[in-house]
Amino acid sequence: MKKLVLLILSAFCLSWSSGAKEVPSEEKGLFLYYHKVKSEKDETLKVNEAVFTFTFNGIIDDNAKRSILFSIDGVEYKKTLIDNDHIRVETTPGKHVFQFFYDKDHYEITTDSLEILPQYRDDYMVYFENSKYPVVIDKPVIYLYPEKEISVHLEVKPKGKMTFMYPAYNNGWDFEAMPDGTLLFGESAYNYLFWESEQFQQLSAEEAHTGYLVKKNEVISFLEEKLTIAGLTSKEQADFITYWGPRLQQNEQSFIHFLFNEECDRFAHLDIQPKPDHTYRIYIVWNEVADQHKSIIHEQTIPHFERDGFTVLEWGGSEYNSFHTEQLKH
Amino acid sequence: MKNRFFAIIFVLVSSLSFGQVTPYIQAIPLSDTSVRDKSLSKKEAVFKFIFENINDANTNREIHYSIDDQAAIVKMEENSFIELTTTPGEHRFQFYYSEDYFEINTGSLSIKAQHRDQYTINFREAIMTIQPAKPVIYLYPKTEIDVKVQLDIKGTSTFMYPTYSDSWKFTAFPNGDLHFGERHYNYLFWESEQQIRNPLHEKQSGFIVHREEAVNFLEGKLSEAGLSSKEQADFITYWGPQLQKSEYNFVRFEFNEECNQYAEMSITPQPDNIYRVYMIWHPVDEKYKVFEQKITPAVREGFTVIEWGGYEIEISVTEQIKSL
Repeated sequence: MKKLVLLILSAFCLSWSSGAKEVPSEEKGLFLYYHKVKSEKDETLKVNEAVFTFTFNGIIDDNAKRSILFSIDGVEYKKTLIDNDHIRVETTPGKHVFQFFYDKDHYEITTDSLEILPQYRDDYMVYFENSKYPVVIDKPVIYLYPEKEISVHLEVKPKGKMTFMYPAYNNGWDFEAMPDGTLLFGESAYNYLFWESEQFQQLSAEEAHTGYLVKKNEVISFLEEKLTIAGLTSKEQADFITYWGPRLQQNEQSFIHFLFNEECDRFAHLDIQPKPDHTYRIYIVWNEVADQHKSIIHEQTIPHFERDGFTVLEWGGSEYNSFHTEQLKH
Repeated sequence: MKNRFFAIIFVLVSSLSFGQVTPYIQAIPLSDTSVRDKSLSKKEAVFKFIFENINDANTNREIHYSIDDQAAIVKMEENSFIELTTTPGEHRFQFYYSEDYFEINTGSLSIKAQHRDQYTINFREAIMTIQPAKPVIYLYPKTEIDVKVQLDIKGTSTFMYPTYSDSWKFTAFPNGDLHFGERHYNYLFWESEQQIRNPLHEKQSGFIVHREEAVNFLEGKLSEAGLSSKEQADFITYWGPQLQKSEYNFVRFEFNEECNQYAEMSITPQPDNIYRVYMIWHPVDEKYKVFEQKITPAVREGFTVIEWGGYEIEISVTEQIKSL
């Protein structure tokens, strides 16, 4: 009989790993979004008993009979949620590690080792994060540096609705580009082209845990350092930093992930005539990460943009406005 | 004849009190008392509004009010309250005392037949927190010179770039390049948070701008002001997307010494011309008539400094209902 139970459990185990297949197996845990809300002694429990209650926030679906896959110390179970939002786990006093997986639209959650005392009932809030997010792709600006004065035709093909373009855009921008970066539209000279768009985007699980945690007072020095490594000029950096810096400084701590070059094709495709020698793109994707929420973050590698020949550089970004972040703010 | 005269007066009054959008508080007050009065007919009900927190020496206070969007002005009784006889059912009210106080919009208040309901309306001084966003400063000297720029910000500075410690010190070039050692910039940037009195006044000039006209409007006004196309692009790519978020906006510019209320600038050596332009704006529900504002142009002669900035005025504040 016991064997049968184990068999069933391992079947669940299989379905779990297929559900979370985007996550490299050795790094199952992503954000550890949970915190303890209550800890109370209950003398009706035996001295070798303790009870965890986990209440789940941030699940986005209409399912009235939700169930969750979870593991305690590596052993998996499936439970139907009580009142469609929580589970109770009866266990032994001591330290336990939990993992929760709801479905592929929500990131899996792994806890640290949670300690519970004998005869205690500990209540935790667990915040699921939706892995899809609607975003405004904010202020991508495009700089062009040809080797000599040339006429350029540039088209932006965004993967969503275009909301703002400057200067005026008619099936593309047509202008004269100068080696110093000046773009001439007749009499009017500009330093950059600007577009904005609204679209739905998703970070892969791997992207969502690769990047940096940056504190409010480190924002400027962090951005200067990373953008210098990438090879942006100080003027380009100033445009970037005066745009994103004030926003990032509104958070005590932000998670920042950069997307580079072809990774940015998910936002828009750039069609440039004549073809540049290099088209470099850097997008910043970020969200607020509260201090008490720990995260497993792997440091990202910043590529260096070699600026020889006719070089085009674009930067942009987006706040990663997930449901989870909203939850935390309330 | 007499009837027509009254009609004209009424229209004037209504456009005076609510023609200009005023920052307001949206709140549903709770009634202090509700008593039956059999001396009223079954089609009658009386609201009594007591106005509190008005701090002025006026002994002849008048209140602008509207009931279900019908506007009027009345003198306050005993300088502190008004009574309005109406029909039983639901009614919405707006109260406006002066530009020093937020307008108060009640939600729907319900009253029974033959009842007298009393409410206390707490006015609040129209002091609001604003965030002058992205003022940027450009400098164009006649020849390469070392410059020091100091800002006396009338609030808390929230972001400055490049690093500011007591001042910005750098070498400025005639083409507008600012050299901080190895690093070169086109502009200096600062942002702050501060409290100001309601910047909107009745009969204030400005513009009502439709979403789709925002870019053309800004290009037109900024060209009139004398900003270069690069400066315009910095301004428009910052404010344009924000102005496009609502169908109509009220837009007003402030120039030169008017901008000292946000920050005073001291620059050594003294420039020949300093030009500042701030845009204050807020969404409005519909187009209405405003006196068109005259644009003060920049004089770009000699060592010229240009600054632009602006902020959105938050028009509506929703107050929590306070219990009795």
